[in-house]
Amino acid sequence: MAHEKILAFDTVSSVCSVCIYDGQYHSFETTTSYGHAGELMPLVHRALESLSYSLQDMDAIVVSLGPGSFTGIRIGLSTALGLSKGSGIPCYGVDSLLSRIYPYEGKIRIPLMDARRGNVYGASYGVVEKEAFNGPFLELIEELKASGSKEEILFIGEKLENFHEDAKALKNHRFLPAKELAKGVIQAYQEGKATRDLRPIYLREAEAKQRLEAKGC
Amino acid sequence: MLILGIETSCDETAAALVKDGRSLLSSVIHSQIPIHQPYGGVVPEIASRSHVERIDAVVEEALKRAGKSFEEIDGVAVTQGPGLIGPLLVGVSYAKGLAYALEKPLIAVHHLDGHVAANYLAFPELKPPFLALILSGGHSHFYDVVDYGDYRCLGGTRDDALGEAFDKVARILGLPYPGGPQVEKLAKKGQARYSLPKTMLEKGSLDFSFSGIKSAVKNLYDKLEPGQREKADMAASFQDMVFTIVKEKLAEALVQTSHNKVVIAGGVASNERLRHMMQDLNAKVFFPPLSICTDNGAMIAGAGYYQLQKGETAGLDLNAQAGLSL
Repeated sequence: MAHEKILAFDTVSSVCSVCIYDGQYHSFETTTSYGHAGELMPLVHRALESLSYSLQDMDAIVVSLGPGSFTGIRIGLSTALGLSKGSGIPCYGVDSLLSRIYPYEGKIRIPLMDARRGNVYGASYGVVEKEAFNGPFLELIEELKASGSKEEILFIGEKLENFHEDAKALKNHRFLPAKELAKGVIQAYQEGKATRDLRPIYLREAEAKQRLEAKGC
Repeated sequence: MLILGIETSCDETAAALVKDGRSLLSSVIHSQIPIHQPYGGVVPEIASRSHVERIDAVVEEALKRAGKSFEEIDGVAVTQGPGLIGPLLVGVSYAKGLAYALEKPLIAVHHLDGHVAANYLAFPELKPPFLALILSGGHSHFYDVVDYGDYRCLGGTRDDALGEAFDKVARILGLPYPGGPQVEKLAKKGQARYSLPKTMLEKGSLDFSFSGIKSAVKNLYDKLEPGQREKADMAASFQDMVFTIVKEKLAEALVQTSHNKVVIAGGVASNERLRHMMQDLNAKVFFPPLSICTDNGAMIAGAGYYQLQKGETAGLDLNAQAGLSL
């Protein structure tokens, strides 16, 4: 039986990542930081063309829904919606924290993204489980210490140098780079973790809304 | 030739289908006004979030109302700028994906070209060359429209755009967002009895300056005791003064360019008092119908048609530009 062919992309962090699955994973990435708006569609085209596929050969389009860069999330999702509408190919979304754990095996895998001011978007998969959250990294450290687990903790993400010092409170841990982002998106889809509910996962209200709510309106 | 137009530059998610640049088949607009009202103005992040939630359904509805299928479209036109970058990126990204999947041309449209093109939908006899005056929240500029999509700027505001001045005066008077229609409504109940500065700048200049008039309203408001403030009179005074300036500048622009046709477009052009005051100019004056005067997809489709006629299509690397110039 022919393999299901899948086109996926991830634009929620600085790297623009595209992957096509046709029995094998073919990954394509750009090196510029946050150039998604101009680069995503040319990269999708290049990926399809280099494998001699047209969009219509695909059976599914899968996109990373966040958390991550708000603008990046919307560029990816808007593009996926347009591609899907024009082609009739069904579109799915996956959580971008979950998709980032796939390159690594481990007992505790914690994908992280810098959410500024000491905060992270994160989740924990494995012996210690924690749902996707947006909060202070230090609180996560305290929870991990309190869990009593002796297993090695894998922190997975890009540009997390600011958090290395705080993580020293944990004895057994490593920081590993997030990589092949769109491949992880496809793997999450293949494990049945994708949704047809194509709403961005921001994990945080717009700042103006936070301020308004703080005023009790 | 059938063009789909997509517009997401500010606080309307809009899509429309237009035939041959002149005939409107459908126009769907999802307004975000209620979403932004608690903030007293458009919040870019909140606008962007709403656009991405709505765009797919808005586009689908535009097709449905026109009774057309995607295969029948000859091109996808989208607002590239100017506008808010987050909102613009939703429309541009969506349009790129859609055009690619349909294997149809992608057309990048300037928002102001769209406002002018709205008039082509309503007036079959209107053709360039003519004079255009765009009055919106971001622009107050005169253009010599040499050909479809070919603009020469003759002058523009040096500070606030007229729509922006309306919004600021609305805030001074304690009126809710969006301020323009609120000032207009209030002005109907008032008399233009307050004296405000008539800023005309140098002789013959086609530039505007509205910030001094707005400040004069603020000073007047602050000077009067709460019981003495006739807000309706203030609104009427502001409105009549800015439109008097607009009219005199417009007369000057007609003389300078020798045009006998003028198109007045942009959100402020929906103001009834403006429309009334421009009646007796020495030229044929065109205002777009109210339904396509504020931001909409039809005007983008209309402008896109003429670009496609000239072979002006965009590549897959198209990016939104907040400060795109005409």
